[in-house]
Amino acid sequence: MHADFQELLSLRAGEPLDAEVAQHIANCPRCGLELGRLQRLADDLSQLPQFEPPQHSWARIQEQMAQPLARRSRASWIYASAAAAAVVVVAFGVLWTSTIDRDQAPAGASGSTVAQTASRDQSVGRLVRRSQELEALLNSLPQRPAIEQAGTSATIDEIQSSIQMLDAQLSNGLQIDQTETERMWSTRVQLLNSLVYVRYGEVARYARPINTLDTGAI
Amino acid sequence: MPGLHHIEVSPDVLERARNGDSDAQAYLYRTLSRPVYTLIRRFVVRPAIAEELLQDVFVEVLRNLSGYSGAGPFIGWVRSIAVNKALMYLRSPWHRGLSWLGADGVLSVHEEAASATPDPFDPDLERALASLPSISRAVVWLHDVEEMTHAEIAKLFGRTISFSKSQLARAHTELRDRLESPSGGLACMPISRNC
Repeated sequence: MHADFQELLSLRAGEPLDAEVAQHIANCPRCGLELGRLQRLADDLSQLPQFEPPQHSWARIQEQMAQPLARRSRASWIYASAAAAAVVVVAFGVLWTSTIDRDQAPAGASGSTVAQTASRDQSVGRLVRRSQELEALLNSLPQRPAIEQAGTSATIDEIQSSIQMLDAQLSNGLQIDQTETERMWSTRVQLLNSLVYVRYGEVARYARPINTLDTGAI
Repeated sequence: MPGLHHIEVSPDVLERARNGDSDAQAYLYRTLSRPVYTLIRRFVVRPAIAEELLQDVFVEVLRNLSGYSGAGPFIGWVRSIAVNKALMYLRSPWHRGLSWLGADGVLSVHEEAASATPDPFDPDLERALASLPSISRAVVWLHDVEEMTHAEIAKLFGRTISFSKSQLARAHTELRDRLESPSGGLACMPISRNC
């Protein structure tokens, strides 16, 4: 069996490698060829030209240095906006959940529109609570192993990225209608479910048995 | 050599820059701006954002020179500031929202490649690299060009060594596929993808 990419990359970087694998690579023309290609690729990357910064950059840096804290760059505003958005998401979620919990059946509510809205609110409320339960379950799992399968790691990364993407969309929650909000929370719960399954499998493979873990409700 | 790690800055220049000598500060910018900007461009596709980040990096470096302990290599300190700034941008809901809407992917691979310094120039490799997801591209750059170890990369990203290794393997798999496909497999491919 030929060496995989990670093994070849480890050998290229001079990292410790299983002796049997190292011996195979040394004697296998195909693996040797692949190793040489990886080395050439690193050399080629190092030879790529540098990007030239815009000519006015130094002048703008000097301007910012001369006006401490008077002007923030757009990138800084992006960080600040992101942080503010995150706070809004958390606050909105907490407020929303508590409101739904408190007002399960608004006094005097009548008519199909009101009933549908209330029903949708309850549905979203359930999804928000389910998200919180799944996140609590994920937090209760042991830490991820230092070494794991590349496929597992990539899958977890993909799911986490998708969840973060949804969170970014939900940060604009006040501008999204209830139907779309419900759909997004539903997707978030599904993604968290998938993440729990993958993480549970990872834990079962690499860590101590966790017989007490309750996944029956997933 | 596009990597930062080959650059050395004398303690004398650092001391003068720390004391507010504008010539020394300008020298630091001239010496470091191209490799720092190149590093940022390997994380962040959009030139306008990369320029803003470059300015942020230098403002932070110059303002905090007095706080630089000298415990580690100066270049490593600058590099960690640049990487952290770029990662903060990539992790921001702003960036992810733009990616989701496609607004951050308006540049084509060809436009991206064309914005690189033209000579010497390997358009196929440049395009293949530009087509990788942001994080994979950053990891392969830090490992193969900046010669950082997986442990160092993992620390910068706040992740495990396995994360760094899997991202590097993924990046090399995709680079190989794209470089070996007859057309490069890159026609009309957006360069900005979810990380």
